[in-house]
Amino acid sequence: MTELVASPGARKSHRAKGGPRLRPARVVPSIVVLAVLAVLILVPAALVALASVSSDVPRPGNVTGDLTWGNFGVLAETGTRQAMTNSLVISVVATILACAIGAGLAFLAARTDIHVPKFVYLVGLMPMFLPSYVGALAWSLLGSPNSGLLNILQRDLGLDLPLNTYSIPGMIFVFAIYYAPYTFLLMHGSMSMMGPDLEEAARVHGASTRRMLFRVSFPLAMPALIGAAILTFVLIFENFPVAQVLGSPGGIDTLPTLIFRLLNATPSRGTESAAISVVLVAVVILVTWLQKRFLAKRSFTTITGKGVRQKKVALGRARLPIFLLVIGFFLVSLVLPVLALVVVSGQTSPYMTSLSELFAPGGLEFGSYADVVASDTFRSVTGNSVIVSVVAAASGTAIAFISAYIVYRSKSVGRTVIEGVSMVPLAIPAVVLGMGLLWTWLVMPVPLYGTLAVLVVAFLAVQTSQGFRGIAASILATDRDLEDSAVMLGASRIRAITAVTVPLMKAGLLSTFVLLLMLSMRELTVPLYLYTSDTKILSIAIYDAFENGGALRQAAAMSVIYVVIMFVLSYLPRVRSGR
Amino acid sequence: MDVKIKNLSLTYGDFTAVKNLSLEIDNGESLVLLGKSGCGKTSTMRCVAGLEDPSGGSITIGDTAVVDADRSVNLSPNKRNVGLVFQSYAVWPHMTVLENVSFPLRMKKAPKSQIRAKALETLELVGLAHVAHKGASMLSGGQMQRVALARSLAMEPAVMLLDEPLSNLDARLREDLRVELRRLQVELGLTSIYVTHDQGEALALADRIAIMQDGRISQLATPEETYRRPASASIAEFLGVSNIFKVQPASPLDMRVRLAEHDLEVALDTADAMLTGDDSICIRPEHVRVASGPAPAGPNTWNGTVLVSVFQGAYARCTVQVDNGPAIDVHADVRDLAEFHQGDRVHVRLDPHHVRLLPQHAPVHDETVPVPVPQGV
Repeated sequence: MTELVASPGARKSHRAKGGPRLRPARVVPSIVVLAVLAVLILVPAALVALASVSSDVPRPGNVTGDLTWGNFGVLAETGTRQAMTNSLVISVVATILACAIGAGLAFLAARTDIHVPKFVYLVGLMPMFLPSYVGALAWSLLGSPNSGLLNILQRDLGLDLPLNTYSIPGMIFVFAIYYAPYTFLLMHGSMSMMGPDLEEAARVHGASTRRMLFRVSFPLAMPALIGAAILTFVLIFENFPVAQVLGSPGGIDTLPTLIFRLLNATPSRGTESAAISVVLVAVVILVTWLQKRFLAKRSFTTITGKGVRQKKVALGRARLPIFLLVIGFFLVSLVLPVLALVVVSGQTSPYMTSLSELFAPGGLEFGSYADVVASDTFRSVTGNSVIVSVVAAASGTAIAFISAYIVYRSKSVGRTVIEGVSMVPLAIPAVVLGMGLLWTWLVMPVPLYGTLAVLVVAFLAVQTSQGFRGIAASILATDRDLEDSAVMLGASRIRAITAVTVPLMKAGLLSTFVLLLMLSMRELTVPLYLYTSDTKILSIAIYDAFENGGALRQAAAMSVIYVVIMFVLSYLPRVRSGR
Repeated sequence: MDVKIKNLSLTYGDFTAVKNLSLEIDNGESLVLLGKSGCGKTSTMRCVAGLEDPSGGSITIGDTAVVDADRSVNLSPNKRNVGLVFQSYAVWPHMTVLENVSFPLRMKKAPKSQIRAKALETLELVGLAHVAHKGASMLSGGQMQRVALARSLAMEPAVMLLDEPLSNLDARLREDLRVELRRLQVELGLTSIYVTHDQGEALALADRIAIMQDGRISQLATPEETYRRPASASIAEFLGVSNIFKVQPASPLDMRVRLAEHDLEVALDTADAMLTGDDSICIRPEHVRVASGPAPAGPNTWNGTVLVSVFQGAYARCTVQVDNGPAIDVHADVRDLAEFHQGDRVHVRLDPHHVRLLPQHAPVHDETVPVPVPQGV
């Protein structure tokens, strides 16, 4: 009888006091990280949301104005509706084109007997390394209606095709080229890892190559394609630099350029900008949510990871023409734009009527590079870029490591919150987050605005998600037993992390660092809100130089140098992993 | 050193992995926690290691209380001097074998000369001195296992925990290492807790086996006892007894039981079970004799037909369909093999001594120390 009473009683006493006790080690790091992420990300986001329903934008000493829904009236204006339509048309059509190009190249490189598949692979990937607004600047040199190099060439040849990159078709064209690599990468992965036995089974059961492709291979690659399409749509929809470079000369607004323009209008219409931003964020969240729902329903495990050699599809008579098409894409996406930058950087006469002038004596002269490299401006902006990017990438990697460690390795309270907040920047377009960051650091009682530090802080905020994802993949691939065993053998937790986990994650940490470095080097939108004349960085300087006209040669020369730096940076991790 | 686990509970959110478990392991004893995945065996072991924080109960190693939920004692894992060999080995690939084994000694801040000597000595013990300077990622699975073992041995742990250490190895190597592990454990007088789901491993390595089901210990006994007298039908099934048949409710004094799903009576020699109304008879396939021709008179002798016969080397495994009865698994002597083919008429014979009448689940085996409860609760 005593037994019967004792047993449930004992259990109850455990439950009453039960549950792991909260040790300081479980709470303090979470709170610190959450506080940092909140200042970096949540405060700017909140200020934008607040401004959208306030009568005035946040100012030092006066964060909130009067509450009003009036700002959303801007949505009914013709200009806004036109921008919305433009954004949707451009994003949808460019996404379809980008996916077609990317998926086509991926299929050619991974699964067919095309000539030099390695070259085709590079063709698919390379446009990614050209920052899209540099591509847009180069294409504006090529295809602007009057002085575009291609239009001059047309005049030389007596042609009169309507070629104008300052138009909606022009913008679609440039977006499609520079966003095709995202689809390419995802599809190439999916297609080259596809288990060959799935296809062989189709052949064994009587399908022709064609039927096999359309009934088995392509359907299996569908989830990857849909995922790529939605990613591409969101990236184009929220893109500011390309739309700004190509749209503003022709007076074409998209939602991101409208947000920027209204904020910088005199008098500033920041609260209305914020209202449009809320809509922009809502669309991004909606689309991402749709993707999650859709992909959750159909996950095809096509990836075997065995790397078995698959049968190549024979292209037959189409082999050469298709290869020529690939070369055509290579010309359009990379060779022509870079060539245009090089030509303009050496072009001596600012007003050219025929390309033949280039070949006249003194027509091309590359002294501009020496001028640029020797100039104080170039040196200071390059120095600023390097400092900001390196510091942002290093501290971004550190923050990502600490966050991911807490999320995936600890039992700390609030780890799901940390993961969630780390993903927030994905849903906030740079043009919106930049605005929030501007207000945040104007309002904050810390004298950071106008320093390089504020750019570092801004880059940290924008790139939190990419950093977190990179480190998370690496930390999940590192068996936690490896660290636990060090603790069992007498090492403290910190010691175990530094002696075992960090050295083992060296490759992952390094590649995250390089990724963040590249993203920082090419980021234009956010610094555009925050830079001052003392804190110009390279991307801003190039954008400025083109925007203000004038020293076009120097601007082009600077772009060429910038492109070279970006290629070297993106090549670095390959050299390392190749060893 | 001896280990005392008292009223240990571990919960993850709503899920209770370990339920009020008590267990004592003597100094130098090898205790095996045996059970299916998800039964709480690894969780129990990780509580001893300090990698999980129990929600209730206490663990004492030697004279040290390493965790006591009621007194808020919780020694961190690196202060417990407990060795743990992981299922994944967890040998560090960025270090050499020697660096791996030296690690615990460096953590103890032993003098440099001693570290090297002791590490090499330990490697000698597991037969790996010749690869001391190799990178740990260059080793084979069996060698990695030995490195993991040596690394934990080098710290001279108060208790050695082994988490399915052999499950990633080939069958042959597994059996060799099993013998070697037992040799080392006995030779060094290690107190060890060994977690496995492999009954063969448990039988070979244990002084005592604790069978865990559903977060509790359902049987705690020597290997012989466990093998001969499983405490319940579910334990018998887990231990590889393939002939388990439900019986109709019987009274404790009956020497014969009737199968629930077949019109067949089975004779027992003792009514040893605590009957619950949900009971089964359990028969090991190696205890069933099979011979050709019609059944002679005698208890538990039934005619049947061979359904399938598979040669297994040391024995042949047959399934015999008993007339009006169940299909029975039989391990027949290989010498009989030639005689049996599919469809042959045979008879099976079963000594009543080998028939165990068991409840479906064992009563909770609980060494719970009664906690005084205030009256009127």
